[in-house]
Amino acid sequence: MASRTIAYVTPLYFGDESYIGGGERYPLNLARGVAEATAGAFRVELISFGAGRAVREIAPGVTLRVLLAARPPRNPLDVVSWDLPEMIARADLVHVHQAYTRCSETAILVAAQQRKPICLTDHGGDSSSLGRGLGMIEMVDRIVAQSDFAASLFPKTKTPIEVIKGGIDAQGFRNDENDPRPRDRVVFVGRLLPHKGIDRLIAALPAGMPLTVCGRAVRADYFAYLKTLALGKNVTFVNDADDNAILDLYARAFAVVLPSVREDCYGNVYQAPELMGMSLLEGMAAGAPGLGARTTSIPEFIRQNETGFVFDDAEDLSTKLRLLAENPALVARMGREASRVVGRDYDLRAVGSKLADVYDRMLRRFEASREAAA
Amino acid sequence: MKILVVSNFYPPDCMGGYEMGCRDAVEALEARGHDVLVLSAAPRGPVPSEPKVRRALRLTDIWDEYSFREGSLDVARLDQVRARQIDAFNVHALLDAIADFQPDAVYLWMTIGIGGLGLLAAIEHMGIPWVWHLMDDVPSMLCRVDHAVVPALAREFERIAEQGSFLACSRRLVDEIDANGPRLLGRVEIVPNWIAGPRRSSRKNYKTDGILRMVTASARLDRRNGKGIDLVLEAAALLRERGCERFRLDVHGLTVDPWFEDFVQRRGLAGHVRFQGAIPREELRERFVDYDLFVFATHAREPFAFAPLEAAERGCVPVFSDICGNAEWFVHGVHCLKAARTAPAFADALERAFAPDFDLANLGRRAAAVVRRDFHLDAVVLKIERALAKAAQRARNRKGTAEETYRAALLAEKLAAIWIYESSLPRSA
Repeated sequence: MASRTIAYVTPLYFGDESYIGGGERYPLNLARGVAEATAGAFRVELISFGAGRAVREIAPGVTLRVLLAARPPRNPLDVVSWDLPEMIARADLVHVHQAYTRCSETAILVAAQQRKPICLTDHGGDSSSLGRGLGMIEMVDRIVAQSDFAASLFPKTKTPIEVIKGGIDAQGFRNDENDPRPRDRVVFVGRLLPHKGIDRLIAALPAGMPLTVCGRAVRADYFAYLKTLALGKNVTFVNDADDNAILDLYARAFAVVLPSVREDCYGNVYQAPELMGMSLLEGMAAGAPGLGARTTSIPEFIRQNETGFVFDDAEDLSTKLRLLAENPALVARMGREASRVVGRDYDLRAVGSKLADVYDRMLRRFEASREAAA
Repeated sequence: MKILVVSNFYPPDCMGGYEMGCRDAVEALEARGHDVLVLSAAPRGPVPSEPKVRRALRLTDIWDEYSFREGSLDVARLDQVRARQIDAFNVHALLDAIADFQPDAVYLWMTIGIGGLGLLAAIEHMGIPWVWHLMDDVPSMLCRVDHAVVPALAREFERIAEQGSFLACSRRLVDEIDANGPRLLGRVEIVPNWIAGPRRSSRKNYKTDGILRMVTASARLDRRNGKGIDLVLEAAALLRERGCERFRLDVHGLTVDPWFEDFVQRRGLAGHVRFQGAIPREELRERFVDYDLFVFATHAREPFAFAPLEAAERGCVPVFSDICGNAEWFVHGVHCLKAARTAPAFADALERAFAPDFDLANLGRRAAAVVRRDFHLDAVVLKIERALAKAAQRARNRKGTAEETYRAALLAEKLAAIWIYESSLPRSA
């Protein structure tokens, strides 16, 4: 059978020249997963936007096409390009990443006009209310959510929702068993943003316990606040780690923590601070027990007492951190299980296979309806 | 067949020949037993209601120059988008008409002013077969934003157009459309414009009393509209300079440009040229029998004017500019005279007709005969009917719902409006 082309439309793409965030890495991982899992039956064109046109193969079966942005928008999520209709026309199916942006609204409109099957995944970006107000999700054929929590955020709709959890490169994060490193620290990996709740982690950190906070300091004021909180504690900040450094950190962690909050230290409230929590899963893939806040999607990805712990508050977090710090055997057992479960269930190849199945069904249904109409 | 006709204007509210042609076609199709519903815009003035005419569309009157001049630029740009690309209100009205009437085919006419691109997209999305009668370069106008054809819109138009059929009144119109922007990738048939109604008698005697009686006409006497009335007057002035005094030229149309009357005074043409004002089409058609020549120095963009045909039917010999759409249907020296589109060239053609040995009567007779035979609506409607029937029988491999079509229209309208708003804001640093 001829290869099918899936267009992934995403306002930003994972890269220094665009944006480094989970909402951008996730589509890239899914693209890789679909291409790898289907061994060429599906090709993915990752369509994004920039100040100039560019095309490059970023993984086997995955091409990044950067379209010329029509005009720099006030919000980068609202970027559009006059080239988009032509790119959509070439695709057999369109998967739009981010739901409530003008980029996605435009992509859905064009794809609907061209009668392409449309799949939609939200990543929490929210820059436009036009589509939401018009019930735009009724125009798509399938919603794919990365967690039950993410699925619950969609308003009541006739559009079927498939929950496909995961989408990390678990194989890439798997620990090298021939090179065991001492698990001697707590690790947080992610952008240093208030909704990540890093301040809560530092506050709960027992005296003397080593914590490495690894991520880009996106907001200077918050980073300064974190450094103030860390005074007198054993906290190391790493702002420029590459992939190898992050792998090394995970390999040395007795706990990888995702302490995200719905209400940050400034009083800002977030509807969806974590739709999945990629860094938590990556750390777990590397054999570190997961420690996640009981909020949003996080509990869905931790098996309590098996692959890690879900904590309720700062005191609970402190207790669990002490428990792990004092029980290497528990860390090893939980870490092994975490790595096994994440590798089996949430690896991008497993997720890609499930997603390819969704695409396949959508395309079959679409073709059947065309034939019936004809 | 059940035929839903979509047109921005519908007589008695009309701009010119395009809408009058629409009414002719509607009446001819009804006369042949088809069930026709006309969906048109709310009229710009009171008109009597007609059972088969639903004036439910909203007109964005981009021809109202005064309002455009006085209004803000942003409102004008939004109005242009609503007039050309998308008006969700009109998509809703169209979907209502489709639901009520259940047409076998939609027959599109002039759709500027009612968001024609969106209407076409909606019809296509609903999987309704359609035929579009083109008498002007409407496709490129629908794909223009800020006076320029947007290639992406043109490409989307082409994708939609691949599914439909077009009737175009001249080859040069098709060439113009293809050159300007979206190509007509669907089926295109060249169908001439026509004369309608009972066949009228034609002129018997020419140059009576040795006077050459000429007429020219345009809805508006305006040098900007390219109809070439100014060239005709200049040609008349040249005729005088060459010693041809025995002619009369009647100019029909609403004068909106004082240049015309001023020119006549300045060049001493007052005894030869008479401004007749705007008179109803039927009345003008009756008067054509009184003239020897219909002088039509129109521009290259003229797809195919009705008036010269109606003149020819009465034996009034058309003198065309050789680049206009009408010219491609008639043979120079057999049914008409053709001239390059310059005042001296037209003066040459008119001077030739002046010559005592020039057989104007024969030319007039042949012109009348060919128009009655090949250009009467009784003949042309068969081609229209055939195109509609063929479209209606075409298998459609996709059919959308009214709900999703309207939702898409609303989304398109809002995205376009935001685009306009944002583009008018100063860029942030």
